[in-house]
Amino acid sequence: MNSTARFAISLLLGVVIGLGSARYLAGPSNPLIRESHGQWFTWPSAGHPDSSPYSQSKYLLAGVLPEHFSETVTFFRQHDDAGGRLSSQCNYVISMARPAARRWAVSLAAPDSAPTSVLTQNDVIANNDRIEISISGYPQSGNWLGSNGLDEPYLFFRLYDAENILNRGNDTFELPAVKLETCS
Amino acid sequence: MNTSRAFWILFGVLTALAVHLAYILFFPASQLADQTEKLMEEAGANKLQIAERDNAAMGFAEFPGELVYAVCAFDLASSPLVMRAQVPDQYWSIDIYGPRGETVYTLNDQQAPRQQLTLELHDADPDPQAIVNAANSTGRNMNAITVLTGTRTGIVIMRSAGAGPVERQAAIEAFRASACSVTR
Repeated sequence: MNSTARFAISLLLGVVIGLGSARYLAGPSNPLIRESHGQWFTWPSAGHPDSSPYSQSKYLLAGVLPEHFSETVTFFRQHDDAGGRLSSQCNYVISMARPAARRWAVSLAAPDSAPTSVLTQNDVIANNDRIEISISGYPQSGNWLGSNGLDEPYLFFRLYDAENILNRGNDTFELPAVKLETCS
Repeated sequence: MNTSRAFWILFGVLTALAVHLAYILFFPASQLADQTEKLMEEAGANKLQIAERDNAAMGFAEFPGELVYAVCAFDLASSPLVMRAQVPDQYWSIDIYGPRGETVYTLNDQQAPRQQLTLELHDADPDPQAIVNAANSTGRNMNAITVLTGTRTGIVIMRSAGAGPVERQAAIEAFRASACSVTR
């Protein structure tokens, strides 16, 4: 193999590896910037003045600017509690204690899109401080989050006044469970 | 391993490293710069635009089903920016970002529980008189807050609760009564 071929192959491999690793580490799967809580994930450095270039990149590449870390904390997941990928073909039940936040919201979004289906604390009926929300492509009685047309959606759980909530410690903080009910 | 092979492996590794760093450090910031430029072309520099379907400000909205957004791209080259914010009686926040998406300043309804306020954005100015003037102007009006941004250009994002029609309408009305402008 002559020098020109070696140069071309080294350059090509370098570009592919450099670009691929950068895109992976600037994406939502980056294990270095995301924190996991069961099937839920969050980026604790989002909106933090000292956030790493990777954390910043994740947002800037999506064209958005994160809220300040003291304002909100966003948890997201793409799987139910059993590890199955969320699907608009299936019904799920979200179960949680009423969050001790001044505001909160659960929403569903297609990958790389803004959420289209949103429920906040103003929209739900609670039963003895427990909240159950159905996720389904079809209207459900009680609290319903529509998943119609969302293929492999992301489920978001957002808490406002995040700094106060997270400073209380994890023992008083419960993330919602997401249980698969039926699939069509 | 012969010297030639080692050289080309090293060349590939260095290329990958250079491409990786270039992508992480420059590409996201250039994406934000493009998006800011689009907003400036559409709304003008130092003008507040409420995020609505398909406009440039909507590009900055991460959770548009949950929050109402208004965005102002600022350039302090000619003079400080004055942002007169009318805020609704519900959750709101104002975040100022630098050109790389870094948070410069943040304020929310619990930190400033009032219906209107004025933010004066000054670039970091070594002239002590400018700081004295800014402090004096704050003293004249208890609702005026002086922010030394440390950057000439950036983005201001106002957010307010907007999941339900009532709070969405309140947010839109407040943001319509708000404005960004330069002082001269």
